[in-house]
Order: sequence, then structure tokens, then C-alpha cells
Amino acid sequence: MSEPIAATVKAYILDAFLPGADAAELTDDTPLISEGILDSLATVRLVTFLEEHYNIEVAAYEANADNLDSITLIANLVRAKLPV
Amino acid sequence: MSQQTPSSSESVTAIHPELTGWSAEWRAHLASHSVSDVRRLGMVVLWLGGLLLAVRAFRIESPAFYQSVAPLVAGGAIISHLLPKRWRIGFFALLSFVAIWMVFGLREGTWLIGIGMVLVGLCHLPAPFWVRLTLLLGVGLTLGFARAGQLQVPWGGAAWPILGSMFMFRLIVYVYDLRHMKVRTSWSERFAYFFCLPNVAFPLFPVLDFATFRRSHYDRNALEIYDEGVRWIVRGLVHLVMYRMVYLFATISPAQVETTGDLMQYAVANYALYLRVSGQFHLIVGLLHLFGFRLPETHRFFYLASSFSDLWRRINIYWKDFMQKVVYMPTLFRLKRGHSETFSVIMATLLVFAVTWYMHSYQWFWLLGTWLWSATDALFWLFLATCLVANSVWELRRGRARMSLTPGVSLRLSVRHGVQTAGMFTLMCVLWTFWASPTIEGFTSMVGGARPRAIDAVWLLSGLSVVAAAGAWVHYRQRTIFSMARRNTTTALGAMFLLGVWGGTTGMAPASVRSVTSQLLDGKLNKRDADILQRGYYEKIVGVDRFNGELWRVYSGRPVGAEVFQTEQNMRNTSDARLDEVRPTLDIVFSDKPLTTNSLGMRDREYPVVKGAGVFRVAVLGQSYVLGSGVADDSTFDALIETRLRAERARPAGDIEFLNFGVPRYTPFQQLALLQSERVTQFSPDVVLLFGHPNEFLRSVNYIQEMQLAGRPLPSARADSLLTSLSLKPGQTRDALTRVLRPYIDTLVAMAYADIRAQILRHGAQPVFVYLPTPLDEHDPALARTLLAITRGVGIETIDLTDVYVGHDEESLIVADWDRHPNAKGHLLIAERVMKELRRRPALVGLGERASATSR
Repeated sequence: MSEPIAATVKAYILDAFLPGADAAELTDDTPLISEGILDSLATVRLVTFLEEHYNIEVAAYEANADNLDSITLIANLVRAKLPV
Repeated sequence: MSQQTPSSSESVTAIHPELTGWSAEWRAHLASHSVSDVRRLGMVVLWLGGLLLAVRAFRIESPAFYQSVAPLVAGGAIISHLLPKRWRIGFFALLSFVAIWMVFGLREGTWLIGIGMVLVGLCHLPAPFWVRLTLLLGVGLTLGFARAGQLQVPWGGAAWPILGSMFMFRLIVYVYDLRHMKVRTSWSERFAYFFCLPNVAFPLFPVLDFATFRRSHYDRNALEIYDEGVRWIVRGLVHLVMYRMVYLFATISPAQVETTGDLMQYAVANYALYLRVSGQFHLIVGLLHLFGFRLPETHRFFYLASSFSDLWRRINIYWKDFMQKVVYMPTLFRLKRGHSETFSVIMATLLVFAVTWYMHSYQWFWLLGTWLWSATDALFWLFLATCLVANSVWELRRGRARMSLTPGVSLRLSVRHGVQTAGMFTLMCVLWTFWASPTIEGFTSMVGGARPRAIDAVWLLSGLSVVAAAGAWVHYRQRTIFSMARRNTTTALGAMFLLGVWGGTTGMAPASVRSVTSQLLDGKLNKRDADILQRGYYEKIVGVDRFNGELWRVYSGRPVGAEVFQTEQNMRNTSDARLDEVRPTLDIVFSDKPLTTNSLGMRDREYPVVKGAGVFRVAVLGQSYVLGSGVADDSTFDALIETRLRAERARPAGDIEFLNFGVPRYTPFQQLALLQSERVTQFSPDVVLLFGHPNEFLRSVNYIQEMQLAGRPLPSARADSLLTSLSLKPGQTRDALTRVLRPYIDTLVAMAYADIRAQILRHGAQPVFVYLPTPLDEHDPALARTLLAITRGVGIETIDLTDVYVGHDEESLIVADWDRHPNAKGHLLIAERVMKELRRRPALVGLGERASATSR
């Protein structure tokens, strides 16, 4: 878990939801929900991944565009939940 | 556009030390605009001006919108932009209140705002969350009882749909956010969210998410947001005009479905009617963009969805997001901790659809005042749920192709996508048709009764090929289709389309084009009576004002006193085949005009039964426009003709009298019954003018249905025996009856006219049929031709007044926006034209040398 959170999340998204996509096109600020990359199923899968990988708990009300619409936002959410 | 910054504010105060506080902030904001910003803003203003004209020209949705709310939005948006950003949300809330007062008036508007404020206030009481929730439920339940008519309330019925629309879903979202949101919100934001400006004119409103509403407010460059808003408004207007095209030229009633081709037309047109919802949502969200709310795109290529999941993600994403937030995610998150992913997804999806089904009925209740519980509705949602669950499980196992960042799309994949699109479109047309049917039996009888034709298979394949090609093209060009350049081109094309339709109504266009396009500008869509068209959930709920008389009155600016004529005070039932008649000795004010009837219920003075020496009598029969609905006693066209001819002493041989026997909604069958009752013939008329209208056939179908359902014979014995030979089954539905009657309606009407002629001739008078449309009617030449051919065919002389209003602005010839009967000017026009026609037939009415020969 020493690798940066953003890179881990990006790798997961590319692998799980965008196989074959050009990694360079997915930036830390690419809108994930409004671009249709994360739909409801993908959101749940991503949350499950984050919970298992970082041993954190994400609530249903947190699974929204405010927290998950970009890799940067996701990283912020994870960072806020990790023990200091 | 650059936003104001502290540094620019400081620089202004440095230069002008006398400016402090709001004035400095305001000046700094204005100073922050570059020349390029001003130019772009100018373009937005130009677009707004053009769109405002279009909204007005096309009479978009209701007078409340195109006369009040749209200009308020346009002006308000410009002012809003000129204000510093932090003032804009408050200004928007204020403007929303103003819009409510403008549409509902001070009293009703204040009630609406007051109740809303109480609901919002309850959310913020200094009490534990559960206490506030309980209070909200209590108030909601009380309002529900009042909405159902169980409790008396001091405000009128018009406010309910808007109050319901503002709070029925948004309050749920708001309470959810209140529970979880950690950010403090201002009262301005709360009021702006609930009383959201365009909502007052659109009862069916997207379920706005409070968090998105706040987050999206000026979250990008303001001018980019406005540009997007303009695009969406154009798109919305195009959808609404296309909806009118479908409504006017493609929709048919279930009773008209005779072949598989009709069935296809019915199904596709029914599904296409959803364009109105899509158009309204684009328009609403576009308008909100003008105030900086960059809300998500909705209804994106929804007719080209390739699967149920795809449709769910495209069609009404505001609903999808609402369900996802308050039902799907909480359920899924709870279940996934103890169950498999597949099980959790299935259960959460099923729950979403159960709630969606209930919520559609709940929405129906708040907007229309009754609950919607029908088998077709329940089965429709169950079927959709099952399909979506299957689709979700498939995607869970196989994954979903996401196009946005994939490097390229193969042609083969696109073709496959196109085929799926065509399949999905077909399925949705069938499902939508099922949903629109009030009963399962109605659906099966319509589908089962459609006669197969080989040519329809060709039509079906051609239609599906077009849909498949469109689906494949959109899929193949997905990466480029949404580029800014293409978006601008699409907006320009949309504007050209609107301009083209509008241009088709001007004098430059050929008459045939004018007659078609002018109907598209007409918001009333009067082609068919609403009750004969079987329309689905959205047609009823999106046109809630049509089903809520009080809201319709508010929206059309219709004064309270402008009641309809056909009330118990003015009409009474009869025991004969006329069914009803105008009450005698009426002395009322109707549409602000005196309306009196004589002792026989005629809109006329008293006449002696025995005709005076040398007097020539003309009896005039017809519907409400003959009666003179909306004009004064002395302004009906028959009164004008009589007065004019008498003044001119047009008939040297003696006096001339025009007797008005007009009764609202009378069909030829009722006119026959009227003649049979001798109420007309007792006055020994020399000529009977039978005024016919484009709605003659439809009204006749309704009348025959009425008589059949009541088990009463028609006044025409021949028509009655034809009906008997059709072996109509007792208890048949209206649609089934109409379907049986439709092929015979021309014959039945012809029989009525043949009997009318015989009846008139028997009394020594001469029948004359006059075809007269009312202003702004669709001038369907086929209808006029058929009616004229029928009457001519049975030996009645005819006069065709189809073009009576040509060369005149028909808008200026109607009583009011809400009442299309001819006004005094219209009656004068009709009178002059009828006199002209009569003068061309001197032998007919005795205007000239042969007068004495015809007078008895």
C-alpha cells in the first residue's frame, strides 16, 4: 500500500472498467460519473475494491459524484478515511 | 469569462476610495469582463432574444410560460449575470417567488410560497432529526388528505400540482442530504432549490438533486454554462415541435387500428409522444443553465438505447440518479456486506422498480389528485424490472463496454449495436403501447384485431433498418458526435428547423404548407378530442393543466367568470334523441356578453309560430358557433344577416327572418331529432341552413356510442337498422364500439342527412348545408370534401365556407386564447360571407325577383 492512492485507483479503473483504453486519456481529473465510466454497478465495485484494498468503510451516501467523480476526489476520500 | 476576484475588488476600491461594500464588489465584477467576454455575452443575449420569440411564436406549452415565465427568465438571467456571484442564488430565489405570484396571483401565490416555507422550515427546526422527520410526515399526510379532498383548505385547486411538483420528491432528496451532508446551506439556496423558477410553469419537473444543484452552480466558466443552456433550450424546442408533428399527423386512436400498419403507426406514435417530456426537461434544464446551474444532460439519444440498462441510463437520468441515491445504493451497500454481489444487485434493482412504480402513482396523486392503480401499469414496471435485472446480471458477468475512452470502434461492433437498438426500439414501442392501454383486454383486442397485410412487413423492415442505421451511426461516431463544433452545428440546425417551421406559416409559403405549419405553431393541438385519444401516463401527467380545470384557467390566464356554456344552469336533458337542449328564457352574462334565449330555448327573440304575410323564414341549425357562444345576442352571424338584410330591404317581396336553432355539440342525428320534434318546422321555414363543422364525424361517433350504451334507438331508422346489422355486443368498450363504427360512420352520417333532407322537404322547405370551420381549426380539406360530398350526395344544396377566414389573422377572430369560438369580428366575417353566398343564389332565399315564388 506504499504506492500513491491515485495511481492505484487509476490502475484499477483501467483494468476493471476500461480494458484496452489509452491510459494517458484517463487523467486524475477525468469526470468518471458524468462521462459514464462509473455507473451504479461500477461504483459499487470500485467502493468494494477501495474498502478491501485500504481497509476502510465507505457509506452509501458517500458513493456519489462529490466523492467519486474523479481520481483526485476518490484519492481524497480514501486519504480522509485512512488512519493518520 | 473571468469571475470577480478579491484583487480586482481591491483595485477598484483603491482607485475609487468612496466605493465600498456592495458597490465595489459589483463594479469589480463588471470590470472583470474582457472584451471577448462581452462579445460572447452579447451572443448569448441575442440567442435569448431569438428563443424568446420562438417560445412566443410556437406558444410553448402554456400562456403562463410563454407570456410570463419565459420573459421573466430571459430578463432575470441577464440581470443575474450582472450581479456578483454570491448574490445570484438569492436573486434566483426571489425571481422564483415573483414567477409564482405572476402566474398564480398574490393570494394563491402567497399560499403556495407560505406552505412551501413551512415545509422547508420544518426541516431546520432546532430538534432531533427524528422529530423533524415525524413532523414532516405529519404535515405531508395532512396535505395528502387535503389533496384528496378530505380536508377543506383556503387555497384553490390550481396550486396543488405545483406544490406537489415542488415538494413531492425534492423534499425526500433534501431530507436525505440534510441527514448526511456536512456542509451548511443558506436559506437562499434552500428556497432556490424548492421554488425553482421554471417549476411554476411545468408541473412535471425533473427530480433535482440538492447536492448537484448546489455543486453545479457556476462550477465552470459562466459563459460556457450559458452556451450549454442555449443549446439545450433549442433542443427542447425542437423536441416539442416534433412532438406536435407526431401528435397532429401520426397519432391515431386505438379505435382506428384496423391493420398491422395501423398498429405499427399507433405504437411508434405513442412512444414518440414522449418527446414532450424530453422537450420539457431539456427546456427546463436549459433555462436553469442560464442562472448558472450546470445540471446533468438528460434524455441523451434515448430512442437509440441498445438495452434496458442503456435506456435507464439515458432516458430520465434525474429519476435514475434519485433512485440510485435514496434506494439503490443504500440497499446495495447494506446487502453486499452479507450476500453475494449478484443477489444484492438483483434485490436492489427490484426494490428500485417497486419504488418507481409506487412513486409514479404517488406523482399522479399529487399532480392529478387520484391514485393510479392499473394492471397494465403494474405489469409494465414488473416487465421493465425483470429485463433490467437480467441486463444487470449479464453486465455483472460479461462487463459493459464503455465508449468514452476506448481508442476506436469497429464497424462490426457498431452494426451489432444498431441491430440491438432496433430490437430495443421495437420492444419499447410494444411496451409503451401496453402501458398506454387502460386495460389488458383493451390492448389484446387492439393487437388481436389488427388485420395483417403483406405491405406492412415491408414497412416494418424499412423502419427498423432506419432505426438500426441510426443506432449504428451514433455508436460509430460516438467520440466525435459530442464535440463542441458538432454541438454548435446541431444547435444551428435546430434553430434553422424552428425558423423553417415558422417561415412556413408566413405569407411567403404556399397555402398548403401554411395550413400544415400553422398547426405546429398552435399549442392547443385541437385535431382530435382528448377523450377519444388513448394516451399514456406521460401524456396525461405532462399535460396536467388539461386535466385540472383550475390550473388550466391559471395557465391560460382564463378569468374565473369565463365558464363553459354546457352546465346544468344553461342546458337540460331531454327524453328524446336530442339528449339535451338549451334552457328557455335564459338571461345570463356569458364571456362578459349578454346571452338570452326565448321561451323555446332559441338564442333569438320570440317569433309568432304563424308566419306573417310575405315573410321569408330561414331556420339556422348548428352547434355552439351558430348559437353564438362568446358573442352578444345581437352579434351572432344570423342576427347580423337578418339586421343587414332588413335594413337594406334586400327582399322587396317582404320581410326576412333568421331563426337561430343552434345548440352546443349537436350532431346531424340531434338536428334530425330536433326537426322530428317539429320545433323547427312549426315555424314554417322556407329554407333550413344546416351548418356543419369538421368535428361532425367524431361527435357523431360519440353520440352513437352514447345512444348504444343507453340502449336507445337512433332518430334515423335507416341508421338504426344498419347499427342492428352490425351486431354490436352489449357492454362493448368505447374503443371497441368506435372500431366497429368507424368504417360505417360516413354512411351513418349520410343516412342522417338523407332523413334530415326528407324531413325538411316534407314541410315544404329547402335544406342547404353550409360547411363552416371555426377559426384556428385545422382546415383538413379531406374532411370538408367528405362532408360536402355526403350532403350533396343525398340531394342537399351545399355552400363551402372553408376559406372564410383566409386573409385574416385567425387569432384576432376568436373569443379568447381559451375559447376558440368566433368573436364578434368572426361572426361579422361569417355573416358577410353567408350573405354573399346567398346573394349568389337568388332563387334560394328570395333575395331578388324570385322571392315571391319561394315564399309561402
